[in-house]
Amino acid sequence: MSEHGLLRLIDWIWTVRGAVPLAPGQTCDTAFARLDPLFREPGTTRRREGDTLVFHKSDPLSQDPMAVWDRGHLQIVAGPALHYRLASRALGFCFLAPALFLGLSLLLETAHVSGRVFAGFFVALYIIGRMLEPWLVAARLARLLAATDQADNADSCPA
Amino acid sequence: MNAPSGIGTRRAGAQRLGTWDRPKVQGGPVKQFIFTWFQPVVLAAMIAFWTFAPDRYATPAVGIGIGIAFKVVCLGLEWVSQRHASWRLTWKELTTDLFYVAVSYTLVKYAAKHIGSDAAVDAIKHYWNIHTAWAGHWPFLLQVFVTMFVFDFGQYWMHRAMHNWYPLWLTHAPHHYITQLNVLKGAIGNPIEIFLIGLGIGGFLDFLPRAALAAGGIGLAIDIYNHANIRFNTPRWWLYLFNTVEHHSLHHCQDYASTRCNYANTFIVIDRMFGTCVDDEAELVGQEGGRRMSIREQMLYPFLPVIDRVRTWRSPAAVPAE
Repeated sequence: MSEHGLLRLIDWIWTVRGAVPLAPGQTCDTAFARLDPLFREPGTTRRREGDTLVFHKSDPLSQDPMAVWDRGHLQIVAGPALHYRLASRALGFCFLAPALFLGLSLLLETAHVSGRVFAGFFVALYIIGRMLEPWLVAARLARLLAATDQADNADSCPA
Repeated sequence: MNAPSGIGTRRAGAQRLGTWDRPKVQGGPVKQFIFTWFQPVVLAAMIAFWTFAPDRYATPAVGIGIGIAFKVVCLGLEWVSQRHASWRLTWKELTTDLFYVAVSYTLVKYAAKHIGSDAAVDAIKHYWNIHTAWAGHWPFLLQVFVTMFVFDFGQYWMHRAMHNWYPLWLTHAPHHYITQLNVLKGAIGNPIEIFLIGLGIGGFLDFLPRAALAAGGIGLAIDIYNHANIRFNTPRWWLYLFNTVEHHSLHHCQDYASTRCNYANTFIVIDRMFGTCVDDEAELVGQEGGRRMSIREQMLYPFLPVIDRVRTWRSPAAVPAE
């Protein structure tokens, strides 16, 4: 298996993929304009090229609605629909945390019980986060895209 | 506004107790009652439990269990009576906070056991053949109070030193980069600071183990209140005696000079004794305008001056061409 294929096999741990349908006739410019507030937060850089928007976050604020996603790739494809791929270091970190604290429980006599308890907490938190955060971001994107505050503009996006 | 006098734009003692604009808990009379008396009732309940609990229940394991349950309850209270929407707990914040709690209960606890103050006190008592079992015959409430006050008195001066001596500030600064307050935020910080702030000399007095458990439980509860996003109708007499989220939010405000007040963890009356208490509160917390520090930076922060010096040494400035 290629390195890329192997990565694709495990990156579900920290990566979320999804799609949100656009309203009929909604254009790239309109869709990205409606999502723009999400990427105006401090520590966020974004680059738009035609039907694609790529963003990156560095130490986002706690209340940044996209704080859990460190980088992402959003593309409008024929349908039309917004397809997105978002990566989260927090999810990856939370996935690895149980191993760290299980290791400490084996190494340190004072952490024999507490290390295992916290490993259990992080397993539970990972499961909750892996289900909750994709749901929240899908709902947020759908809500913003459904807003009816701007007129559509014709552009070169796939229809 | 009064002129600065060592603690930013606020002057110690200038603000009359409870006279600043304190929004009330939103809700009916039952909710008002609960969030007015919650803190005093928990204090009374803890004292009653550790005073009267049978020996088989007065154990460290039960104390830890009560602590965990209390944190869960207070996390729930953050939803019932939220203090600020801008401090709302998110999954990422909770995960980050729990990481620091876990580090405290594992690595820091290990260090404290082997090289902490209790280990040093035990060694000194053993070397000098010091016995203080008579302290265990004092009235139980006195044992609890002395344990708490001695620890908090030491913590007050350690904390104050951290805000006034740069090498110690380097260890404490990461705690001030939290950008909101929540139940578990008291654990956030560089592990060196968490180790230092836990040093104490209470081990010289051989109080009953359940007195230490009671003191630890009450101290933990007040530390949780100090960092919780919970709106209480805190009674004025409680504000006078104990540290609160009102006092501690001011201690975390973004104006660095104004953070140099309200140092005690439990008894704000210690700050009143030394003129460092300011009765006020803040919503905008953090440093550098509210920049959120990553876990990696929190861990490295005390060593940044050394890292910078090594980098400078390894890459000296280019010599201009002649």
